Amino acid sequence: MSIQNKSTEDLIELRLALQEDTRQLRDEIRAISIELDRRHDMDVAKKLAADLSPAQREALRNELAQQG
Amino acid sequence: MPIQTLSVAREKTVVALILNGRRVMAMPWQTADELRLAIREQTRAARAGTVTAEITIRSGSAVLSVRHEGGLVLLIGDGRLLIDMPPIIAERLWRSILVQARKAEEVAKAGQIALDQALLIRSGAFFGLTDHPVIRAEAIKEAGHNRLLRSAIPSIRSTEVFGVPVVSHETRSPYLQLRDLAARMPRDQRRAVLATLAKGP
Repeated sequence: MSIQNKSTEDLIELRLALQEDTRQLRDEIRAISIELDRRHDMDVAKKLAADLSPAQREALRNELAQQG
Repeated sequence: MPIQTLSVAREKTVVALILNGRRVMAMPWQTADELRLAIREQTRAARAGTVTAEITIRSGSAVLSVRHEGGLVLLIGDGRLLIDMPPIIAERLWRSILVQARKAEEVAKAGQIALDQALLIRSGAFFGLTDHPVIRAEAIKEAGHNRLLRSAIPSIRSTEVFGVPVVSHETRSPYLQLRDLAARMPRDQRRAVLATLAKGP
């Protein structure tokens, strides 16, 4: 059914529903982006950690522990 | 003449010439730009064998002159010959100075660049004016929160995630990279990094 045949009230309701769906989708996309970023950062961190000497690991652990 | 090493260094907005490990001259980016133009001109003249006047550049108390003689480009500091080099080396030198001068200029004008970049981001033009991470971060903040920009270009939701794709070349040590990465992470993720470090290789 084309939107030309819908009543104004129906269209307003439909628009509200679609806006809500869009909002939810955007929130989900944002949450997924944050999670992907987090995983990417962890992958990078693991690779960098593998390049550190035992002394550097210890020094960095202490430095990070101080930051809380 | 024994083997000489000449390099160009930069500390924030200052460009320095280092000869055999010793700092010969430190100058603001504007002076560095003048110097690279002088070296470029003398390099071209040395190649072509044309006669040109010596070019003198002053920065604070230091005086640096550039001229060419017998096909070589000469750098003279306070009346003493610092180094003479064939045009091919002189060209590498002025190109290095150019790169460092541009970087120094970028730092000196960081605030303006960040605002310009913010305007571009907000207007939807997704290309980068800079690949300096701090300036980019500032631009993203400005694009999202600058009141004047938001009222002038209100079409973008202020909660939208902004970003500009860049190619960056990482030259820092893994230690510094990991330290900075962890510092940007939320606390729970930082703990995960700590656990990774504790596990050992």
